Amino acid sequence: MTTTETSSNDATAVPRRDSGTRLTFLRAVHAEWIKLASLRSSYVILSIALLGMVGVGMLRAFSVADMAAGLAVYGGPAGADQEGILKEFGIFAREVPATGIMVAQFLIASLAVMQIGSEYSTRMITTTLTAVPRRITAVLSKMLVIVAAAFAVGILGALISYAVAQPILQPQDLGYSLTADGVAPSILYAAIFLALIAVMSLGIGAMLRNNAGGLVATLGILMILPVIVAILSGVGDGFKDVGLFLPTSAGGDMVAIRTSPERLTPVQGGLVVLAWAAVAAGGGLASVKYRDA
Amino acid sequence: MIEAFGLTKTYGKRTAVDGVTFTVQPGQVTGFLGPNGAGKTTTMRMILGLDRPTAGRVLVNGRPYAGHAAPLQEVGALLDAKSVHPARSAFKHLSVLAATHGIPRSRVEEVMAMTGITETARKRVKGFSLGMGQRLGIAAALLGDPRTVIFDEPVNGLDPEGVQWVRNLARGLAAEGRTVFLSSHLMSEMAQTADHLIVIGRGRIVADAPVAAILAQGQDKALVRSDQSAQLQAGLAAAGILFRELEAGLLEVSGAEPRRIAWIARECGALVHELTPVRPTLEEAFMELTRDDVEYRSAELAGAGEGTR
Repeated sequence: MTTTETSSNDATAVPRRDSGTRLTFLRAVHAEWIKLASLRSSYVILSIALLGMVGVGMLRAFSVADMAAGLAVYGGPAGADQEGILKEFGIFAREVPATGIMVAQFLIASLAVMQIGSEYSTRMITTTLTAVPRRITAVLSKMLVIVAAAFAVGILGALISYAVAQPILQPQDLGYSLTADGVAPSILYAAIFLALIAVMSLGIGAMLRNNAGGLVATLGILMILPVIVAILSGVGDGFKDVGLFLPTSAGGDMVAIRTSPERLTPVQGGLVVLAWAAVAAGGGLASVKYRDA
Repeated sequence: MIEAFGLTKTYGKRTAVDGVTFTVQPGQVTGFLGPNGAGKTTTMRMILGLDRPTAGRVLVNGRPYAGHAAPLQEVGALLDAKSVHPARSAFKHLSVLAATHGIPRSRVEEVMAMTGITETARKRVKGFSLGMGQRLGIAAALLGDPRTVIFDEPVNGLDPEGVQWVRNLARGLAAEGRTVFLSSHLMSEMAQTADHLIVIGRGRIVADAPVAAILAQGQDKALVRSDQSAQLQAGLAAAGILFRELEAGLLEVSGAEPRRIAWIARECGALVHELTPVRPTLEEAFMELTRDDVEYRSAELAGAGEGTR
């Protein structure tokens, strides 16, 4: 490995230590990983995200099993297509593993906001940007770490939910394998959704440079905006379409196995969430790059 | 080596640093002296690329700080000892910084031992005293074995033993050929540590010289007691020498050698029965340098007013 010596006029006689010592992107990522792993709050939040995801999946499994049991005992509505309803329940059952993202997203979002917001509030950012003065590298390394954590929670949470759901669903003949129609893509999309939410939240945190502000803004987009749009859609039909383009709704469409012409397809939903993530990440990168630390 | 060229930083209408140009040479301790709010920290932040200069530029070892392959090997900086996540341990904090550059764990242990924080290194930084925090900051600065060291007010919060330690550390680093740049608002502290001083006041460099030269440059004053004070005042004013009447018959004359004062007294026929040179103290030299030029003159002239007109 060669180090280029530019300042030939420099009279310092200090010997160079190890020439392998230099800043690289992967090392910055490693450092961000240590940061995340050395805070108790990270474990707490990620554990709650995982537990929440599994818990919600389990509840959903119970509710689907319950509906199926009801159908078996009492039969469907008069004249209903019994087979069609059962098929519908089968889709519900296969959607169970990904259901938990609706809870996990809030925790992932909070962690991602704090990953950078707390650096600004503790002034740690000064230290970070002194060690990693290439600011895009500094932000992207953070992003990669939180994306990995969010993706892992998504995959792990969905797989555990799947495993937990099977004994609940099997008595109703609603059990299925991971290779069943739509299951694997749904699980993958769930993890991708959480990763994109992490990117969006980190971007917002980087723009607002503050935990409280970042959390309010992020949770506002995820929780409050859908409520507002839902209320407004009662006023005018135009707002219904707006609702489709909110990240929470688009995320739901991403992981859905049941398709409907009124909803987005998984890929479309993914593109919508990606757009939210890209805009926020772009803003966050610009804010860190061009504003004083 | 640090080279600043016309470095300027403005925040809205306020100019924090106003076109400063200076060079910090390796192999000696350079003190960056100025009252609080003079622009020391802002200048240091610009050196590290944390704040973007409004105008001008600054190079460290020949390049902008961010342009180096191994920034931590170029500059070790202690800007604010509290730039640490309080829930992380000192060891983890240092490990994070080491990881960015692939610095081995043995070096982390080494700087912890050097700064005396090994025993508390596994505890959360939250419980650290000011002095311990300062030591952690210095450990972080030394981690990359940097060629240039920048410490902003390094002795803040340290006990006398710690102050002595920082002083020796700075001198030792300079003796190894490194560039050492320390800021302080205390002249007495700098006089004991630095070889060279860059004095900043209201965002401008007011002096850039060896410590000895700065002390010598402090304006000489003399106390002059005369029975014909009025004549002497007229004579001094005619010669363009500044003075102040401390009490009837006693003048404090600035910027003139005793011999010159005596000659003027002789020429205007004033009997002088006391002529005492007053050497400036360190603090006075500093205060004089950092006082705003305009304010300084107007105050001084007001005292000399009656003699001039």
